[in-house]
Amino acid sequence: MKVSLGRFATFSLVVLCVAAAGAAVAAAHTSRSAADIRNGGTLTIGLAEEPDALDPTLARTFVGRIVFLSMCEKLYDLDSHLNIVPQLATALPQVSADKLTYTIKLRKGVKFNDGTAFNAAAVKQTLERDLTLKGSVRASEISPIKTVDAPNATTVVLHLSSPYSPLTAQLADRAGMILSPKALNSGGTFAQSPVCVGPFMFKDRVAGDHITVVKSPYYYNKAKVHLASIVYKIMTDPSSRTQALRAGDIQVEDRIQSTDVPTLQKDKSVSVPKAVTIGYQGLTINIGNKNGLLKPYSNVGTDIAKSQFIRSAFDAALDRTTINKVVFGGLNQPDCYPIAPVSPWYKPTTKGLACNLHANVDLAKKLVKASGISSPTVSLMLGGTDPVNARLGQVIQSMEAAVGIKVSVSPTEFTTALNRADAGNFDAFAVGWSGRVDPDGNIYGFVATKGTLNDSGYTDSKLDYILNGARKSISTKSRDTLYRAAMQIIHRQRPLIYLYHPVNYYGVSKKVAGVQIYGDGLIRAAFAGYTK
Amino acid sequence: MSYVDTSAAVTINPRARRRRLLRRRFLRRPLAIIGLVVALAFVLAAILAPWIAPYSAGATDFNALLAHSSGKHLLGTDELGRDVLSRIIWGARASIEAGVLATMLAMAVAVPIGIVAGYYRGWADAVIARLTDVLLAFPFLIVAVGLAAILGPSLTNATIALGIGAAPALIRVARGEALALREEDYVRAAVANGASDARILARHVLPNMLSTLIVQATVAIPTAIIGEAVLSFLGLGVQPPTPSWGVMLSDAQSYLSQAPRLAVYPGIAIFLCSLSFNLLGDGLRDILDPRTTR
Amino acid sequence: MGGFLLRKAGAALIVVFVSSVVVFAGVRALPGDPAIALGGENRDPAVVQAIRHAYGLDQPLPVQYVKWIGRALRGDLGLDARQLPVAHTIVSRIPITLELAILAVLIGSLIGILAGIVAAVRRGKMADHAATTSALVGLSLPHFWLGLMMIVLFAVDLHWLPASGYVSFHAHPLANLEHMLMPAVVLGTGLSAVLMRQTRSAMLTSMSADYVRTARAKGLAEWSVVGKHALRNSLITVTTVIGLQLGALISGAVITEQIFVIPGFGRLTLEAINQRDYTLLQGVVLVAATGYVVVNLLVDVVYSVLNPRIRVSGSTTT
Repeated sequence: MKVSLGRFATFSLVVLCVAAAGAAVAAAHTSRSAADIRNGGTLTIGLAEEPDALDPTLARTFVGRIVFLSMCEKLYDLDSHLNIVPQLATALPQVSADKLTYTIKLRKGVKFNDGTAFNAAAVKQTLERDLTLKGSVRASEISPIKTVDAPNATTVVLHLSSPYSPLTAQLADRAGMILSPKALNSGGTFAQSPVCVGPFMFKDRVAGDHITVVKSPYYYNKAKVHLASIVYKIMTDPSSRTQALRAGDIQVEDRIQSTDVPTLQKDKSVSVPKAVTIGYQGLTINIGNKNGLLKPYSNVGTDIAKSQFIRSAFDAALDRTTINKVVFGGLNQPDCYPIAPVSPWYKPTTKGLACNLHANVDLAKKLVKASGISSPTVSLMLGGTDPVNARLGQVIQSMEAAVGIKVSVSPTEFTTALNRADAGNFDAFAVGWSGRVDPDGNIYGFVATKGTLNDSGYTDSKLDYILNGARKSISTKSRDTLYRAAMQIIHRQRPLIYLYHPVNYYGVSKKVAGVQIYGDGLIRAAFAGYTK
Repeated sequence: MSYVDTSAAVTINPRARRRRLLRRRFLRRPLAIIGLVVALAFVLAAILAPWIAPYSAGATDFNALLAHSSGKHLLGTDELGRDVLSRIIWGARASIEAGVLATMLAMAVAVPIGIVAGYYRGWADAVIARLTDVLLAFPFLIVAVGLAAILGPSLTNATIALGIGAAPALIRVARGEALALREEDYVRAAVANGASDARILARHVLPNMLSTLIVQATVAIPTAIIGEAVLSFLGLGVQPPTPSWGVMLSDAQSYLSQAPRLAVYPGIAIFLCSLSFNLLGDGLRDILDPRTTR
Repeated sequence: MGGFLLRKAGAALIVVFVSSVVVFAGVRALPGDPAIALGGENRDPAVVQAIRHAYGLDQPLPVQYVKWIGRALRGDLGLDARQLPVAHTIVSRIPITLELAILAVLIGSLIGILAGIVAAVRRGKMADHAATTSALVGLSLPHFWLGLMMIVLFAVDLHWLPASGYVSFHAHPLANLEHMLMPAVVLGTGLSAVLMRQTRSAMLTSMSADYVRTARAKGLAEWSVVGKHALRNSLITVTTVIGLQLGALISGAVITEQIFVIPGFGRLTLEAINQRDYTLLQGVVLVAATGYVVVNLLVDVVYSVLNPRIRVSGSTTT
């Protein structure tokens, strides 16, 4: 059990490094067949963070996506192998030869949860809202869409300004959630009573406490829905979440903290499915971020910035296996790369490169000597004031001390830490990235000169050339080669030191069947139910 | 001095006799003696930590994580393989420092302000009372959390936050006492006899509110010790790897099911430390109380 | 009396106004840009600037303040980062904390005042020592730690009570009390210790006061002396103490609600600080400050009713 005082300042790192787990590989967690499930009952899911606005146009949070899954269906969905499959559409889009026109056929006889008809006009209105609403987070995801046509009630045609292959994937997430025009036109704040197509409909929300959805009478596939309602309980304290699961107060636990995993794995009344994420946790080293993010970079002159030997020594002193053991109970996946082993890109882009998961103290000491800096010091900023960050910081501190690098740790509240990082006001910053399916999303932003997340202030014309080439290249093979070359540069210069890939664990009561966890880390419970 | 001083019990006795009396009264109070001894022990532990702690506070042993008590580690080790006993001893520094300094800060700020406000009343009182009201309008912890968040987390800032947080209540108490005392007959008599303000404040008002102030300090030191633990627990006080009981509790939370002892020891340390100061202060209050007869 | 109240009320208004400025400035003094928090993983400076603009965070502070306070006067505290109305959120959370606080005050005063009276009346006897010592223990216990230990004992080991969470009284009165019991006890113990000491000390003072001695000398029954004279005057102190403890109570509620995961006002405050949700944080602290000022105004009134000397002395010279 863990009390949440410490927790209050910590939600954020989790959001970044563990949350938006993106696509990852984990077997779909399913148990028992539908025949064993009885109808009725309330399923309570303990969420690790509080969702933000329940408006798919504005929503940013990972947990928000979990809630939307039960009440806002999308044009497309993912199956258990992360393939895109139609949901409110009847088939994958027909794409014109020039890749500028997408034709999407819609399901017939579908109703929104206010009883109004779902049709092409509604799709048009939603997509246009996504593109134009002030503060829309979706606009950039589907920005190549120029116009939306609705030639008839069941056909939508998207006209693009340029080819954009991730479009279908975007329509399988929040951009593809279609909102009821009646609700949108009512003049109220949509987030306060969202209406979509879905097996469940919004009932109420008490900020900071819970969101309740109840079985929809309008849903087109009502027979598959067993539960009478789902309550999403916000339980930011991981220990009380685990405790609530064991006490039966909740039936599904979002992301179990590492220290509770062994206990729950021993508990016969719950199962513990896991999802390996495509994100990573690393240390961003401030090399050239002297004037702030995206301002002209020049070396900041700290011990670790001015000497690549010190950076290499810092890396060699880290025992990633021990870090994983001590800080995370051995549950994460230690690694040296931004791309996770679960990604198909991992093998080809890291082939032949060295990754030592154990410390090499002798090498590190030699490197410190070679640097010519007599007693190097590094200030390490932790992106959170929670115990996990504190453990991470202290373990690193102790490992570096063994090779003569003096590390001081400063745990910093997450938003403040990001501010400081963007301002270049740090030596090293322990921070994570939720990960993207394409390697570009895990590399470019952080180390390319024009990358919008390049807090390291790292600039290298050769690396820029390689990464830009990989962006334009179509052939998978040539991209493999380019990313491998990029990785070599990153390993030599170390603007970032990668530590591990987070693995998410979930708790599901065995009284419940049909709860599914796919590689994207979302909890799918709309068709779950209590066993007979 | 022609008036009769009704607080005679305090002032008539010659000092030496009074000291002897106080000592005798103190020795009759075993709880106060225990309090003094334990409080001194904590202070000594804090000062002598480098010599008496078996290990340094940050010495990790990744091969002995969460070890049980043994000859090597009397209270076992924590999640990073650090000696718990050593960390408790080192942790006393943060607690004592925060407890004593925050209380001194609060007293130094509050007592003069409170006396002036309560005794002179008028516009000074109005302004002070309003400012105090503003400060008091924010719950203590919110003020402390807010200050720690704004100033940045550290022991010094936590101490300042705790001191400032404790001041308004003390101002009110001091003001209230002064307000009540100036209505007392002996103060009125002194005023009627043309005694100077300074003399009245020093001889009649301050001594007569002393026992109340000691009660308040009694509450304030342990409150500040606990406050430091709370702020450190919240990540707003002492920063790891510096040990503090609050930090230890915060670290221990994640391991409550595996190693509840990690949460028990620092909690007991906080409890004993603040209890000892409370016992001592309580004894002192009794002893200094002019109504005390034995 | 009317003038006195008017003066007090006017002063309270000023306090609320100054508080609102302090809240507004204090919230902005927090490090950590809310636009960064709102941007999520997108930290492109251009995007962050757009967010800042969309939320009016790029306007001059006085303009932001006037806009905010203007709406606040009409009861509109704005929309938080979840797009939910802040006023509504606060109103829905207050009863929860209020229930916790009332239960805690009930438990605290019941134990504290009774023990204080007994200790004063039985001064120097066993009962006095027992009460005094328990009060000291109560004062010395860090209550967040007490909460932790209670959870371990009563919830984890014995399974008597739920470890954490909240059920509304409407939905399930018994479950509500089950969930509230441990938090209220944790919050109440600290209060009872303070109250016991203050009651005892006040009772001793008034029992040795002249008018009580006179009452005794007149041959009044002891219960009458204690009840009518000593207690009435002691209650002045005790009322002030409860008023003074309100801040401590709210502080305590913050931590207690965190430990027991109760979705009250305290948790809301910490969430708002944590998420850099300016609108929410401003609203929460403003309401807390206003509430506190109002309660203190009431305490002042009660105080002046109980002790007319305070009221009159404002105009007398000495």
